[in-house]
Amino acid sequence: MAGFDVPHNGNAFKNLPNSFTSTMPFLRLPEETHTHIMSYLPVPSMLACSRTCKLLYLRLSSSLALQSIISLYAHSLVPVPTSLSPAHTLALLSEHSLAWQALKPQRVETIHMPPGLWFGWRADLRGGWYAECDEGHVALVKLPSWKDDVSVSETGDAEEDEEKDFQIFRPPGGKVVGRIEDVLIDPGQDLVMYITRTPDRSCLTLHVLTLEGKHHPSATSRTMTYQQTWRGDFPGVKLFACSLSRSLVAFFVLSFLGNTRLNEIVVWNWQTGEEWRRETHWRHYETLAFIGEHELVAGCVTGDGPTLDVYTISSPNQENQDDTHILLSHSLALPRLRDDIRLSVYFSPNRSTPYPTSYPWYCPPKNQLLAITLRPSRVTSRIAENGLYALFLLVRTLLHPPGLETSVHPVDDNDASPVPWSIWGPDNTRIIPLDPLLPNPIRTSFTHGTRGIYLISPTPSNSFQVCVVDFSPYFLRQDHQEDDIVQETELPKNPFWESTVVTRLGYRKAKTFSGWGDVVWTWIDEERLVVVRREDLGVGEEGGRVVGNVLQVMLM
Amino acid sequence: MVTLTTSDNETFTVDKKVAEKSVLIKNMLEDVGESDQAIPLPNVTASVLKKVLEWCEHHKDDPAPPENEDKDDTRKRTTDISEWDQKFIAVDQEMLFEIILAANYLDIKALLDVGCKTVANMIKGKSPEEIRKLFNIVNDFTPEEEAQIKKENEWAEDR
Repeated sequence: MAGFDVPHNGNAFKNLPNSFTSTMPFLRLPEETHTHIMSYLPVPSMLACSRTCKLLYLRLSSSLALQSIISLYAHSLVPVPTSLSPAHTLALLSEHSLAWQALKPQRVETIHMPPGLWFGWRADLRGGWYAECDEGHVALVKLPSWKDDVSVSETGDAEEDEEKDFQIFRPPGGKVVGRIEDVLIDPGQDLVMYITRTPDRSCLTLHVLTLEGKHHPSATSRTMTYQQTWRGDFPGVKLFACSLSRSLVAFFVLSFLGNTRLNEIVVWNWQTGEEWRRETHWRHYETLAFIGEHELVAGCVTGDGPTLDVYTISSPNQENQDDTHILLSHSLALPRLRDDIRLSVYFSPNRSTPYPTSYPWYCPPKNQLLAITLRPSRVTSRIAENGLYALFLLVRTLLHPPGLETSVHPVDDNDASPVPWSIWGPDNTRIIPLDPLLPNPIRTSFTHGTRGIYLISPTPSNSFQVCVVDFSPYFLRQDHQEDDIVQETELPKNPFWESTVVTRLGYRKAKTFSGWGDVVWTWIDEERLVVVRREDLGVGEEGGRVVGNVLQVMLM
Repeated sequence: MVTLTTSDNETFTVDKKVAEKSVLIKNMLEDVGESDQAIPLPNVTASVLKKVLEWCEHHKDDPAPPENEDKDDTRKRTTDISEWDQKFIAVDQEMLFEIILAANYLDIKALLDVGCKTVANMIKGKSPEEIRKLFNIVNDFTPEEEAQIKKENEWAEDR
């Protein structure tokens, strides 16, 4: 069971349940028969069964087959009416979710996004929706899906390049005051959130809207404002990173006043309006991501060597005497760098949801993949040397790393020493060296579920090549294939790391996929691969490069 | 003809074709070759075997299930049961489970399916409490555990 975590998570009971030694005829049936019977049940009935007694609970928890049915049901990839047996659904779903391995799109569609300014361009993709923003507007499109024409003929012409424009969403008024810094979406909750900074740079505002640009019914207020009150001189805030769980939004900001700097993590519950802040002192983060509903990971780039720091956010109804709602739980060391190296760290957050919501993409939280782009560089008076690596790990490693004492209570000690890389790292991570000359090199890979995608060397120029990898422990164990990569690899000798770095987390590599164009972003999800190509449209009215992004959506 | 002996020492003599619906018996026959010796079935009582053989007799001309059915059969799984089988399986719970256990032991896949589908149909749409009543299951969760599991399953409820 280890390695395949599903919503219905069997935490073993300490004492042998009474139902084990039962004389009741139904409970006397052998394990495989219980499993067999339950396989005929719709998922809600399966779960009802598991709630009757410990024996049946454990039967359901320990059956890989049933757990995969539940997990796929939770995906809601197709509506699962009781008339369709879970087994049938399972077959239908696996057909589609495995199509990526062949990377043969059934349909390709091109979507032209509205022109925008290059500087400050950010994007998000989740639940089949894509959002992008430049300094002045947010645009939103629903991506095509195989479900669109599932009722129509199944014989569609493969690889047909259809041009299709989609309705564009813009914030009320079309234009915002100040500058849009980032956008986050959660279509499952009909949620669009974008963050603006006032022209004087003193204040960040989070705007919460529905996909149609209306006031969100679950939000207590339409906006949240972040501002540091400095007496006197010029204030400024800079948004480094933001992330969204189901009810919380977290961001890392740097406020500055001359030589005084304040690093702060801010968490806001957009549904209740509660807000917490935590100074991170000397820990400076460039990136953070939710790895659970109340767990955050942040990449620390300064201090005593780079670390990944895991924070837990305690909800107000838990007993909490002081005000520390954002607790540092533990810290994991990344491979040590040589003294003169500077590292930048960027998370490619997982865009499937860690909790089942009404939208399709559910992945058991602990099996979500986090891709981390590591970019070490050394600047001397004459040369700049850059490295570029994609580091992959599963969220469970972050939540329960080896080498951490069994006690899970947050230590919340800023000086707590991190778990050394040698203890947790090599077995639980995979580092893949990338070409440091890639365009847009700080954001190279995107993950969905257990799957990641990254760009590889673009030769010749104006072409691209992407590689898809899957770290699903389930596939690697249950359906091992010869070309699965499980052996240890050592990073090539280079001037960045203090000592030899090895990693050995197993993964599967799909065929690579290539095409033409200036690709700046790629994603993969359960049913599609999205490539964002950039087209230069010249200089705009107010100066600045204007670009138009073209989405190429390949439905698998 | 094949002779079978039950756990309570009754013997049944049946057509080889009928007995071979059981993969267990079929394999045994292949192993021993032609022999008049009775095959002992220590896990099956006479009353159950009688019922099982009744099913085998009725289904003796059904085509054998395909060899590699494991993969394909998941696609076709429904809880539909043929009319004859429905009547056949309309027995009390004790007997139903005995038939399932026997089908499992004798390795008669189609009969096992009928039994399991019948049980599944009994469970379908019932609440945990109704299922407990149905099968006389004692709730051995502590209230905390029960609350925890209810919470775990909340996501599946209003769908």
